[in-house]
Parts: sequence; structure tokens; C-alpha cells
Amino acid sequence: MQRVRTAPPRYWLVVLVAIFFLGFPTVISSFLASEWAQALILAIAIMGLNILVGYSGQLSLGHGAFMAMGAYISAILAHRYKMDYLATIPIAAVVTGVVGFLFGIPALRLSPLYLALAASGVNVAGFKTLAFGISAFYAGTAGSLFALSTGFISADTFPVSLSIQLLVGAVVVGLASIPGPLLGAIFAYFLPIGSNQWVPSQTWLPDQITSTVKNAGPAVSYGVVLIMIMMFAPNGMVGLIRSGYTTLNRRLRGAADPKTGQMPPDPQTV
Amino acid sequence: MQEFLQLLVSGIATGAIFASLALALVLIYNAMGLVNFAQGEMAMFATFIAYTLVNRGMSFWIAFPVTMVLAFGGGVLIQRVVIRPVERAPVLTLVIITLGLATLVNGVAGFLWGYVPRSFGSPFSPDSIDLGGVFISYRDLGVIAVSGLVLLAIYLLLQHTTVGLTLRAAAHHPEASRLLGVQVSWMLALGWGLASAVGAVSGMMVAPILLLEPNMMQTIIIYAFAAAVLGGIESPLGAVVGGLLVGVTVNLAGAYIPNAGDLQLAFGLGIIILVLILKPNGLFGRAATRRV
Repeated sequence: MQRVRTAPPRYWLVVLVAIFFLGFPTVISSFLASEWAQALILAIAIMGLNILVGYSGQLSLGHGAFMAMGAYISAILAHRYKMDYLATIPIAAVVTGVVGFLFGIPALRLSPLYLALAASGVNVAGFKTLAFGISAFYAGTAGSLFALSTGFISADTFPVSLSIQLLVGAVVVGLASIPGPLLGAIFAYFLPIGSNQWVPSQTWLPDQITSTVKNAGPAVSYGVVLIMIMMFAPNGMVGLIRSGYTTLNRRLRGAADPKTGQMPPDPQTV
Repeated sequence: MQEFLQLLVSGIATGAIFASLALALVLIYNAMGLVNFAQGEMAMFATFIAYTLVNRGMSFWIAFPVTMVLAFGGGVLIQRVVIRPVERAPVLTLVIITLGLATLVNGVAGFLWGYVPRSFGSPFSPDSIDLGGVFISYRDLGVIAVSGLVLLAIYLLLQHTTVGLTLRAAAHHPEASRLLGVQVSWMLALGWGLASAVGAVSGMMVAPILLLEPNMMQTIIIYAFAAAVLGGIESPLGAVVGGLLVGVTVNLAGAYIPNAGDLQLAFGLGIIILVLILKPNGLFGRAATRRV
């Protein structure tokens, strides 16, 4: 197998981000800190979803369920068996990952195309199931962290709308992009707060708009965002920027057809 | 024995509701190769429209076909506005769009009518008919009759009319159909309209049983998925048979397995998983072979 060339790891960026996240909570109010913690927990789950949807091309609506699994495992271990909180996290993550892997298996039996690919030597089935497993591992971690941070979970804490929220977070900045999950999580988490609190508080907006936005609720916003993104920017914001940059680059280098000014079409990656 | 027969009949009635929504899913799957996750929400929205009409004084039996027509129009509109612009996009993109649509329709319904459950009167009498000791409710019979008629009408339309033939041709062989002058895009719109109308029937039949609220169809659609998968996602007949099987099984399981009440939904989901593991093409599906 050919060695895939990747960009050299940008260690300085990792250090910078780490310093930021270690220092950030100390300078903001503890309410905001807990809000951001929840957003970052969502980011972890979205990273998992991104692996599945963006890189592996499969869809999961059940990531809320994997989060729930991680949460319940942590909760039961911590509460009933008095296990140390931090120790429950890897256990929850691994168990959820294994279950996710098992769930991935039936998902593969649907397309005969994969049998053909397997016959030609590429273990597509294996990788796709692995993607499911890893993705679930992340979701389980997120769920576990959620349970430990909020201290209260029930069967209603992880509804289908959570899975939708995760999907919005995964696609809005860009599937198969690196900043996607983190920025997408921030967007997805703060969107309801935006529509319920921030928009209504903007006095310069006409009342009809603010009250409609407030009453329509986050579900409408999520739905609209999801549809708009997939219709006009299936590769998310990152995709728009990339294609804008590529178009600009090409125009500057003269790839446009001299008569019509038309650019050659872009390949789509979703 | 009597209890069994009663459960059987009400299972068939429930199954008819699943079958209608499952048929809607199959219609769109046949046309586009994807599952329309918004089908349940669209059905719910149509049911709210029926509710509004009945509340304004319209008789149920007039509101019923009117709602179906409006649902048809809504389906066509959605296909034209949201789906057609991205017709050639990868399936995953389209599926995510249907998810967005589901969320959007749910949100709009909540915005227009709120989330407080409302009661939707059944058009059938609450009495039961006594067939030799077995009491079968008119409501169950009514649901079976109405759903059966709608499904029969769809069957006749698809199999025995030119329009139906054109629709099926456009769905299965779009390129060849185009060459023969068929407006494939409008056929897809027609498919969406039909699916939406059939789904509306499902909603209107189930609303008297569950209370009417924006999240009403979310469990129904799970059972409809189970029915469609069980019957074979490409087979309209499979959708109907699957729906009836799921309805009866879930009803019997709920009654005969102790403490199974809350697990009924898990049962439906379990059916989906079991079918996918054991016979992914369902009862009536054909194993699709592709030349590689």
C-alpha cells in the first residue's frame, strides 16, 4: 500500500490551542466556562461523527444513543460502583466503541459494491466497520464527560434532536475538515442560545423578526441551516472558502476560458 | 382465542397505518434511491391541516380528500424547491437534506400549532361489532377500510394507468425515459406528491389514536421503516405486507410478552436490525446485482 503523504504535524498549533484551552476557563465566568465545556463535549461527539460521515461516507442518526451509552456507563460505574470519575471515561469509551463496531457490521451487508471491492483486495468492510467503532468511541467519551460534568442523566437527555444537532455541527463548517467539528460544535451549541436570547435582545431588529425567530425555536434554525448548507455548500464553510480560494487562484493564473470567463467545474467531495 | 383475534384485528389496523407510511417511503426510495426521513413530519403537518379544516367546520370526509390533495401539492412543492436543485448531488447530501427538512417541518408545525397535544376526533363510531363473541371496534375496521382503499387506489394507479407506468419508468430508468420524451423531473415531483398524500392518510388515521402534536409521527416512522425494510425497501407490495406484519407482531408482543409495553418501539427497531442481518433485501426485495 502506498504511503499516504500528509502534511507535517503542526506541533506549535497544538501547543497554542492547549495553552488557550487551559487558560481560557480561568478568565471567564464559571457559567460561561460550563457552557463552553458543553460545547466542547459536543465537539468530541461531532469529531466522531465526522469520521463516520465525512471520511467514511456513512450516516448515523444514532450518535445521541452512543453518547447516552457512554453517559450511562460512566454514571453507573461512578454511582453504583463508586469508581473514580476519571477512570470511568476510558471504560465508557471503549465499551461504546465496541458496540459501535458491532452495529457497523450489519450496515455493510447492504451494498454488493463492497463485496466487489473486497474481492479486489481492499478491506472496505473492515475499514467501514472500524470507522463506526471509532466514531462510537468518541461519542461514548463525549457522553461520559457529559454525565460526569452535569451529574444528571435520564432517558430523555439524548433525544433524536441531539443527533440532528451533531449532524448540523458536523456539516456546517465542513465534513472531512479538521476545524470542522470544533467550530461546528460551537455553532451548533450556541445556535439555540442565539435564537432564544441573542436575537431577541437586539433592539435594532424589528419586533416581528425577533419574535418569529424566538417562537420558531432552534428546530427551524437547525433545519434551515442543514438544508441550506447541503444545497449550497455541501462542503461547509471550509468548502466554500476552499472553492473560493481555488477559484480566485485559478482566475489569477488564467484558468478561466478567455472568451466566456467560465471556470472549469470543481470536483465535489461529499 | 377471542382476545387473540381482537389483538389480531387491531394489529392489522395499526399495521395499515404503518403500511401507508411505509408505502410513502418506498415510493420515494424507488424514485430516488434514498429514504425520505421527512416523510413522517410531512404526514404530521398534513394531519394538522386536516385538524384545522375540521375545526373550521368542514366534515371529516370532505377534509380527508382535501388534505390529501394539499399534501400532494406540498410534496410536489418540496420536490421542486428543495430536492430538484440538488438532484444530481450524492445520496448522502440528499439524505441529510431530508433530515433537515424533517427538523424544519417539525419546527414549523410547533411554531404554528404549539406542542400541546390535541385530541383529534375519530370519524368512526366508538362502538364495536360482535362477531360471534369477538368484539371488533368500528374504529379498527374503519382504519383498515380507508387505508385499504387508498392503497388499492395507489396500486391501480401505478400498475394499470399510463401515468403510473410513466412514473415507474421514470423512477427505474430515468435516462431511457428521457430519451422517450418523459419529463423525468416532473415524474419525480409526482412521486413525491403521491408519497406525501399517502403519508397524510397514515397521519389522519393515527391521530385519533395518539394525540395530535408535532412529534406524533416520530415513533410511527420507525415502525414504517421496519415495515419497509421487512418488505423490501423497493417493493410497494412489501411495504404493505411488511406494515401488516409489523403491526400484528408489535401488537401481539405488547400483549403477550410481560412488561413489553415500553419495549414495543425497541421491538420495531429490533425487526429492522434482524432483517438487515438475516435477509437485507427483505421479503419481496430483489438482490440487486451490479456489474463491476
